[in-house]
Amino acid sequence: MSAEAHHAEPGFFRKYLFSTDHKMIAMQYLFTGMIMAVIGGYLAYVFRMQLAYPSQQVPGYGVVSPNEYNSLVTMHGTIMIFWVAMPVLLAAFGNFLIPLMIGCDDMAFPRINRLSYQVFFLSAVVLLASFLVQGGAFGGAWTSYPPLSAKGAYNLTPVGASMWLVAVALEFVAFLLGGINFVVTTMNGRAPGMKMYDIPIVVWMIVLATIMFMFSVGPLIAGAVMLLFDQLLGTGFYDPGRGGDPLLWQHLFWFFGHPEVYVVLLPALGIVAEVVAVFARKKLFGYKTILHTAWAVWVLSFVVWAHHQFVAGIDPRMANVFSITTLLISIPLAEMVFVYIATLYGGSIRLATPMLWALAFMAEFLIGGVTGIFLGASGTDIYFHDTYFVVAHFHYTFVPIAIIAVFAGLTYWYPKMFGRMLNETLGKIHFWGSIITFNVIFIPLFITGTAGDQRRIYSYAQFAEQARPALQHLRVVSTLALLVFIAFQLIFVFNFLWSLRHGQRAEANPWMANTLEWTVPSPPPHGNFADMPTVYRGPYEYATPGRREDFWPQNVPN
Amino acid sequence: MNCATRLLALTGLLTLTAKAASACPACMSTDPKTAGTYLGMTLMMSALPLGLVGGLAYWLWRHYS
Amino acid sequence: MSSPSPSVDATVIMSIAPGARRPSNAVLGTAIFIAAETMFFAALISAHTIARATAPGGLWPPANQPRLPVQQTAVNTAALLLSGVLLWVGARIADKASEVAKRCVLGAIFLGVAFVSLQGAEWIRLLRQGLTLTSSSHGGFFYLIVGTHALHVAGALVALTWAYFGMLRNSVSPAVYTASRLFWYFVVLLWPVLYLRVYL
Repeated sequence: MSAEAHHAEPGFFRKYLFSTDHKMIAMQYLFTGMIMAVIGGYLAYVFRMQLAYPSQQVPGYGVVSPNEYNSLVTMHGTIMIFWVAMPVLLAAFGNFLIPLMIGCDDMAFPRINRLSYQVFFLSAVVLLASFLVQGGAFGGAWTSYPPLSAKGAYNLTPVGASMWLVAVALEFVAFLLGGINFVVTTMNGRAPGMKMYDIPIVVWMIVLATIMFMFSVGPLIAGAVMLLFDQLLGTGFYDPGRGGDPLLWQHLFWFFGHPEVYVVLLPALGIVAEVVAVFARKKLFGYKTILHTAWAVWVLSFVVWAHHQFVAGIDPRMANVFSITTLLISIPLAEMVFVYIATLYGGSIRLATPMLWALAFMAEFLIGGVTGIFLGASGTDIYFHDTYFVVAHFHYTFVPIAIIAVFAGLTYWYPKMFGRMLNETLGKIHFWGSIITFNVIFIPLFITGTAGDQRRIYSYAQFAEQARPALQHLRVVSTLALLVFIAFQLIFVFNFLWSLRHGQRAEANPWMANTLEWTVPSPPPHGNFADMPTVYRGPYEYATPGRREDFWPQNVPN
Repeated sequence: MNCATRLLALTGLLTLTAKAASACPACMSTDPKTAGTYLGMTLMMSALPLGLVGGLAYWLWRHYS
Repeated sequence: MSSPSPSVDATVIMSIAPGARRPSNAVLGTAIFIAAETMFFAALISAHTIARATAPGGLWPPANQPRLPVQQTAVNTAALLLSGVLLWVGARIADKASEVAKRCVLGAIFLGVAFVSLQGAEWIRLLRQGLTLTSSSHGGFFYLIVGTHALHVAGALVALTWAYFGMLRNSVSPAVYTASRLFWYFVVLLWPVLYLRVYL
């Protein structure tokens, strides 16, 4: 498909900056996402320090002003969701895995794929540049609710607010371009013999998430254009004084924003499915069940958005419907986790680092799901609204998705991506250090939230009735745990970089897995497959009775 | 009556138990059409993506099978 | 999986081999893109409908704002619909290499350009009469919705013109020919909906 396939070694710029090869584009997305994760983590460090030790010098930053605090939390949320979870889970894993796992040489539209990354890169540059403009980066929360976001006089970051919107809009254009590629490639590029039910779960999940993204993002782009007009041209779409309606933004934003949770969740569930089947050495329990529950999530995800308006204002009859749909959507997700646990049952489990991460995903995501029930029911939500309980809840969903599942995927596919094995001992130290500290960060926030701590308060000095000095030690514990968590990530960074050169060389199939990406050398050459593969069976035929080996690759005739 | 129908019926009953609230932008309007407009647009936005993907899936299924 | 024999493999491969009816990459990609676009316009329409329903005093457009030229725009609407019909009939009755198909595409392009020009003239008149983006939420929604549609028409015209020049050189691929037409049908069919919601 790509014209360069037969060329000699291309030059540096051709190879690393203007490549149309899906693997190189995946790496570009991966490394951009990882750099953004470092920035997002740094922001979290600064504002957690402010919350634990108000108005003191933060090492490596200085004293945090109220405006800066708003910018820090806004940008932390924005970066972690839109510039870390999305590019890594969807774009990096999607680009790397889809062509390799379905057995084709590249994406359907390689040049559109390259354009997708370039637009994404531009969006990251615009977002980061907004730190440098007058007033600083946008400080109106990552949800950007008007009227706060619509007027510079309210959010005090007039330039940053518009740059935020432009960056988000550009990013969505990038993922629209990439997403069309994913769906078309999976539909038309599959190896001969690969039927619908032979596609690996992670590919299905990335494609379903992409379709979900593309069907929900339109309303947010429409809303963003209107908000940009309100900011720059002085229209009044969200100004109640001029016939507008600030609630309109909340609907348009969450029409995308809530499916977005499932857009990043489904690929994470897909990664976990692959890892669980390989390291339990057992056929994935209920392949079709997983697919059907994923479709159920897909359908329900479009009818839950208004649960974000329970407090802002919604017809109570409507609120009941959205409560019910919100609680319903936990059923297919719980079913999926049950299916994974059933896969473990009776398997010969190997507790390698990827498997540890996959198991941790199930345990931690369970806590996130269960605490979500209190927020989905409109009655309890009115109490918990905008407290640290909400913060702890969505970190118990997003950290398993964007951190834990990503580590499961990275440690699992690292040999395929870079041709070397990661160090197992360092991997396990990193795993335990991260998982324990992650819980110590957020369990205290459940407690402070239940006691009534409000989000987005810079300092309790001005809110004496909110201060609750007795809870300060919990806030400190949470911050200290974050410091330890960040320190443990350095181990991963070291392991990642050191293993690139000094890790043990990886053979083609170090985990003895069945899917097609493990049939090619590590790392895969340009064009992926020397001979295009033919597929004879599903991807999870492990421990088949009567077979000498306990795995049965998809492309082996018998 | 199977489980799903019962659940649906229960959902319908529950929604009727709610009363108008002052936080509800449509409830306090003097024009009864306003609440209907909100409901209609909510239904449209909910049903449209499902209909679109259903149509797309049907079209693909026809062409691929 | 039963023991695979050569004949079984052959049928498996046959059953998913690319058939003649299988949509090409470009057509499939365009179809998905159109679905995403539909959601974009649905959001604009729903926002507009709510704003209209909750307008103070139920007055839409507001009393001091100019009325929209319903009849004149009906002419534009007819031009756009006609271009869609022309394109559809052309592809229906003739092969893409034939003179008839080329003339139909050219006719559709001219009618599309006519639509955009007439809309532009209408905007200039409305702006002179005092309907601007900021004069009221009525004006804001009018320019936003009609303007984004106009941008889509312009983009679709570029695609169609590109396909036309490809047809002149006999180098247009069936995929590009179909995909550009598909996108044109989308902007044509979208317009009556917008016309009914915004103008009437």
